[in-house]
Amino acid sequence: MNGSNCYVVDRPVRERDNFRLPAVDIIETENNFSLIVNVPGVTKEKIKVNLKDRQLVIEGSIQNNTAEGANYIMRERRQGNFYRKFNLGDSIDTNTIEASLENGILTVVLSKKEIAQQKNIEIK
Amino acid sequence: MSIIKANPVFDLLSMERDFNRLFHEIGKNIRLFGVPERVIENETADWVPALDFFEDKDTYKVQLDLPGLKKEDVKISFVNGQLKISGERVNEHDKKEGKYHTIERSHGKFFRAFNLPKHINDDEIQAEFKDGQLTVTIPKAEEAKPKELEIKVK
Repeated sequence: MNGSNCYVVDRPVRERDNFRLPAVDIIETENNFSLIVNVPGVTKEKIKVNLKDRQLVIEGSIQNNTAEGANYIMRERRQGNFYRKFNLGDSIDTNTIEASLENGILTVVLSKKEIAQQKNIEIK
Repeated sequence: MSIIKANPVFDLLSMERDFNRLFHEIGKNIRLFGVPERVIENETADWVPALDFFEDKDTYKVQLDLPGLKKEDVKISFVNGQLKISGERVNEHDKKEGKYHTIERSHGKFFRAFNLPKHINDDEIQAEFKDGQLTVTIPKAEEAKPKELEIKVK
């Protein structure tokens, strides 16, 4: 089913300034949605994934381990807090959300409800 | 710890790289500002990882954000005073089944190179990969370390 209630929508965050938005890929397969989020340098303790009112919030902070008295010649990497919010459609089963963190990548797997999964109906 | 303000020049630099890439892909090989950073033996890199370069008393350090990569995916070399870091993030959306709704993460080949300062101990360059961040540590040679001399007053 590819109806309008079968979605994960990224809602841009405007209510919080000074937060950076990590890059995200959203992939839909037959039974689930996967959110793949770039969070280099983040450890499990520094990241939170919350669900409230069908809104999935990913937030945390990146602290680059700066040595004492370090003198920067180039500085392109950003550090500090990140925040990203997603609206979950009705077709997402919010009881079975799984998240894992590996090599600076957060993967959140959202499974679709039974009804939303495609079913072929046999015509008699 | 010193506090460094965000430098708008970085945005300009990344814009410059995008322009270079654009011209390179058109095949005319025109470079706007003459920086050959994106060229790997005539191959074009697809993205540029963000990089920090800093020094402390004994070492220079390079840190790159490479989320999702493993150490096997990254190649680091030091040739003629130049440190080169290259690799590839496999194009997952060709491999993985499913429908992509959003693609924001960079994929494909990446490349960064820059000249290191002269006085370094190039035999002892070390690299470490952790949580999607690569850290290359380059020890300074004795000449480059800050000297402190006590001068006696007669």
